[in-house]
Amino acid sequence: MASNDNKTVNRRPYMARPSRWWWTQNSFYRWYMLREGSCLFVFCYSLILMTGLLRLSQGEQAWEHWLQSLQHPLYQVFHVLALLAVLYHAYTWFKLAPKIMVLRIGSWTLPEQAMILGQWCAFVLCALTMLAVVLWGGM
Amino acid sequence: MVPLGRTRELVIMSESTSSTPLIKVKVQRYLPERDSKPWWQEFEVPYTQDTSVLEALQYIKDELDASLSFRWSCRMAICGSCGFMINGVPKLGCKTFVRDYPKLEIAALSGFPIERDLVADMSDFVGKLETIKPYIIRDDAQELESPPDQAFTQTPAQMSRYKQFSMCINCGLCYSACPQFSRNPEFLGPAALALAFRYNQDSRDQGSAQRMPFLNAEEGVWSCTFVGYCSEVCPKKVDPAAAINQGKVASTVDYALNLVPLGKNPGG
Repeated sequence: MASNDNKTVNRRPYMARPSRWWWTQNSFYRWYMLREGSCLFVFCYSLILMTGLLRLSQGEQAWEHWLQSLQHPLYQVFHVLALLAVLYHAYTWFKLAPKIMVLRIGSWTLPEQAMILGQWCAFVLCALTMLAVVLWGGM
Repeated sequence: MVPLGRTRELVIMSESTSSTPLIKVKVQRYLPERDSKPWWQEFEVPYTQDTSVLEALQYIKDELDASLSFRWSCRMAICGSCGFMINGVPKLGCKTFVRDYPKLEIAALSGFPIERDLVADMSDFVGKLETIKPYIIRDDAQELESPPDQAFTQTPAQMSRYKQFSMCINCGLCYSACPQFSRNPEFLGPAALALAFRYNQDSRDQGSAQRMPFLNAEEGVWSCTFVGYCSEVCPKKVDPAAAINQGKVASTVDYALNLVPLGKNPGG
């Protein structure tokens, strides 16, 4: 027992402090940060969209003025970046969804790839429907 | 301790063949009786096509510096003892081959206290595994004390719900891969949460209500931000990230059920 106690006393474990730059250490972490960072674009885009709704509620002139302001090159660049960010965000989450929601019917489990493909199909269908509504809905 | 046959073969190879390649191996050293922080020591190690990183470390200990400390046992990715940071990536030394690297940097598993050289202190990790009650629990404990004549039967479909998560060898690589664990050591972490999920999914088990409070807690599944690197480094393809995030669904259902007075508390 005595020798055992000595061993305990002599222990001096070294604990490294976690670096705030941990996410630069490998590409897996960097892609993760990009995934998380892409939601900032989604957040900003939703703010712009809500501003539009507010302007719409304030009358035609306010709405037209808001539409006019969107023509600014900076807004246009932002919208292209936001589109890319949202597509990447969707890609990552479609890929992760089968890990979170496992669909089982009896002893059969829906394969991961089938679920990912299903989500993309739903995404394309929704996007095309929206496009159709925007292009021809007003006619 | 050291498999002499294997080491002798390496030495013979290096002596008999002048063209035996050498690799530079930087090893992290920490001797608590004299060092205030870890430092790097460089060695040159001969290797063949089938030399594992663990064997390279054994060569160093046998032939170059006997003071080097590291953990190992089975040499075949079953015991989970020889986890190291190999060129910055958590890997098992026995399952990683020297031939795949131009040079090697071997350190103790990150996120854990370093006891000595490459030996990480895993006691907190083992404690976390114990916390989540990793064993079959029955409502009637007598059933386990004196098992009935008939075994608790299970269909292949029931087994498939948890089998993947039962393949964990407790090597701790997933904890080194987890940035949430290194930032918050209170986090129960990938292996413990996957183990809890494994038992909750077992049709023979009735202890889910006892484990859910651990999953529901701040240090449980909700500390995970789904980085997913734990599943990437897992040497047994357990996919703890999937277990934790399915655990979030279970935790949400558990929370909702607790809001509804059902008579029987499902846990949490």
